[in-house]
Amino acid sequence: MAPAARALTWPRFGALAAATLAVVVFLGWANPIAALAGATFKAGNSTETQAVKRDPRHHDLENRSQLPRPEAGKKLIVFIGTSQQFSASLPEGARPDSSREVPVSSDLFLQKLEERAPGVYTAYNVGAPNQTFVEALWRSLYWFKLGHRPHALILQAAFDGFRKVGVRPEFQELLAQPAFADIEAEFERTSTGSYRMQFASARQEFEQRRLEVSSENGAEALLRRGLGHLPLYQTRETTRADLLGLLYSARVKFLGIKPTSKRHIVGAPVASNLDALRDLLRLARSYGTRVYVYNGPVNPKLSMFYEDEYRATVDAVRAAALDASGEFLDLGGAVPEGEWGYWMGGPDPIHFAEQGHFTVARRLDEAWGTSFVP
Amino acid sequence: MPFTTYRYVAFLGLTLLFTQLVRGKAREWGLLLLSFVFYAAWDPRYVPLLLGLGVFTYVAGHACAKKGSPSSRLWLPIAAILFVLGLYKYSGMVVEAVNLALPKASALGVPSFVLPLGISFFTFECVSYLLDVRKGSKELVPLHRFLLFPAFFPHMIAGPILRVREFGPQLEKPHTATSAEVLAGVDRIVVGFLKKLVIADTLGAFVDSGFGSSVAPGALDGWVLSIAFSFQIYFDFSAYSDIAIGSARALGFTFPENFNLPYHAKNPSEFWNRWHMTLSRWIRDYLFLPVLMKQGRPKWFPLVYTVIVMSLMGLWHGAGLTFVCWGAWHGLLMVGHRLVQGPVAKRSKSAQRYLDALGRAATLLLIFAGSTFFRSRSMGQALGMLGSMFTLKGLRPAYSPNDYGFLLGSILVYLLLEPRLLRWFAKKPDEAGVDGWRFWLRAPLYALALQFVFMFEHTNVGFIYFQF
Repeated sequence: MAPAARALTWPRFGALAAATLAVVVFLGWANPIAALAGATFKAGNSTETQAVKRDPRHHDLENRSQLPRPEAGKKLIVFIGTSQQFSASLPEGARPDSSREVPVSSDLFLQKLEERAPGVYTAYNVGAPNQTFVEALWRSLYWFKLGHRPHALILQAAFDGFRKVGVRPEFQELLAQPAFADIEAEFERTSTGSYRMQFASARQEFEQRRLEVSSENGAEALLRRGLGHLPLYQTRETTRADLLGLLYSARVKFLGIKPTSKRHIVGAPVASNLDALRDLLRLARSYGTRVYVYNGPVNPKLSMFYEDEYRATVDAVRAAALDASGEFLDLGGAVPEGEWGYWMGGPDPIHFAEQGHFTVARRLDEAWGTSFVP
Repeated sequence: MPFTTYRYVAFLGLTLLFTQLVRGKAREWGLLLLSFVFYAAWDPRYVPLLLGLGVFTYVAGHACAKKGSPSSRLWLPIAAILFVLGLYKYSGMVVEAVNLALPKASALGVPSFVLPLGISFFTFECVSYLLDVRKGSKELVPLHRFLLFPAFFPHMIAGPILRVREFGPQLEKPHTATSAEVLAGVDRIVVGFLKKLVIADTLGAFVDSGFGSSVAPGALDGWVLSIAFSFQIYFDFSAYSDIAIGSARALGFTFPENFNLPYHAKNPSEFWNRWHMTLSRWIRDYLFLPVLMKQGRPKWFPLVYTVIVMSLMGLWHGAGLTFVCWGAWHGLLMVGHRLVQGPVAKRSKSAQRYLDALGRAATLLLIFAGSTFFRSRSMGQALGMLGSMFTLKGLRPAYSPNDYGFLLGSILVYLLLEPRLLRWFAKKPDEAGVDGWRFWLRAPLYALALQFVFMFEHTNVGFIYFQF
């Protein structure tokens, strides 16, 4: 005969609450998710990269939205692209060298221009991880209409720039400036691009977040400050990143879907980003900015795309550049095998190693360098 | 005050303490005051509206409860309540429609009211109160007790839509929650938090990106996105209901269930018996049965009436043609099901089994497809997407494998975990693992849940049904 269940009493309820709190404290101390993620990455999944030279005068490498003021009397060149523009991957088996920072292609290109036309140009790299052209257009509205109008734009077109839609929260913060909010609203009203709804969504998200933040000034902020004493709460962002990393590793290991697996470049995200690219180039031309577009290098060790889709996208980018009276350069096969990095147990699908940056800068200079000589 | 905030957790904790310590009238008044504080935390300007509607319904209920009172005593207050709902929710849409017929120079100004949170729900409860009292249900007196009926905070914003016969007795004979009931409530709230923050909001990011372009996705992605949205809204709304039902349970009240594995439905009518069940029974009891039970209607009448009522149900969800079409789509599915029922019944048993399986699959796919109307920003977007879905144009996936993988994971949670959770929630609190290892297993599970809440809470996105 089964023993009768014990009635739940308040002291037992209290004991459960205390036990839960104890486990919360333990989880904060031991952080098993982070430990597991660490162990997984150590097990042959290298994700380390070489430090790059980050000149604060020239680079706005990740999420900053506003451009710093250019040096007086110099013409501004803005590089727009993905993390390929500002990351240096490591060759297989190599460890990062903490004693040095390697230069990236935009700086190397500027050095070459300096040799051709001393003291004329300054360059900013506003590349961001997986930056789409919808985002690039969003940020360009700020630069062209409120910031410092560039003399030239050098855009890198890559798969990463076409695969997502939307405007990330960091870039949405530009709306905090009333002048930008007005410009964005006007642009949204007049634009016919298929990305328009993404601009509208970005504005809605920003407004909702602002409402939430303003409503969090009272009790919510106080409670969050209180929770801030818990290690489990303090590490929530990094633990989340670790968890997502773990899930990503599981996808690679168990489902065999690797960062290098073949993928499609099709559908609504591509169409929206191409529309945004066209409007970005049109905007640049309307301000007299010269437009240079290059197709980003692809690792020749990998066969990541379906040839027909890849070609169609490259052709569309080329047509957009030429329509805006700009220049186009296909660097798809420009960086040879040996100059690419190694990442998560395989050839890096996006980033090349130090030497790759020299190659890209050289190819850009060969193609376009003379056009920058006044 | 959104449910998935720390201040709601603190607010609920304080209310729980209050209900444990205070008895009698003071508790009723306290709960009423706390409910209005909860509402005012969103926008204090609309507290008088909620209060006014409550007082009005109470007075009107008293008038129409009298035996032999003229029917105008019932219909006038109902019309007045629905007018308030229409004013806030549909006046903009109506004026825009009128403006289409007017020359531009004489176009009317479009009213832009902020939609009072929960108005669709508490107005429906007020209407149901009047209809039930008229039919003989006991009036809820005194006023402060009645006001808790539409305004009690766990269900005020997005249901479950209560009926006076189920909630009235609980208010008249108040019950202090036992520790086992509090624990059962906490279990359910924890599940609701995880479903909302981890699953619904993550799926939502994918769905937003998919519906964020005016370019129609390919057929494959169209189907994937409509399925993703169907599961997003399920996890979102059922999470809200879990938190509402769990909060009420912890405070000593029992709310009706709102979901019962809707995507397990064999046909469209069954879907509505499993989805937003408290709205379905409202429609059944006040719109379908009183009209369809009347003798002498032509044969086609129930079919047409079904489509009309379901279209109105869609309109209740939102002031827009897409919502009306979503409702009409479901109405047509129900009509279609009714029409094929007869011929199917005449087939052999083995053929019926085959046809049942086919019907189940078709039901599911058509319900997923219909969700496209619900999520789209315009009819153009919805029709474009449905066009590519049904013409099978574009079978190459455009999004990240992570998005497809997460959707698959969510479906597995629905198929494998949800049925167990529902069985768990259906148990009496005293039987739901309050003894032995199951009781102590809660400590690591709660702590782990808290870690997930911490990790995912910063994406705090409003509940979809809060806009209705």
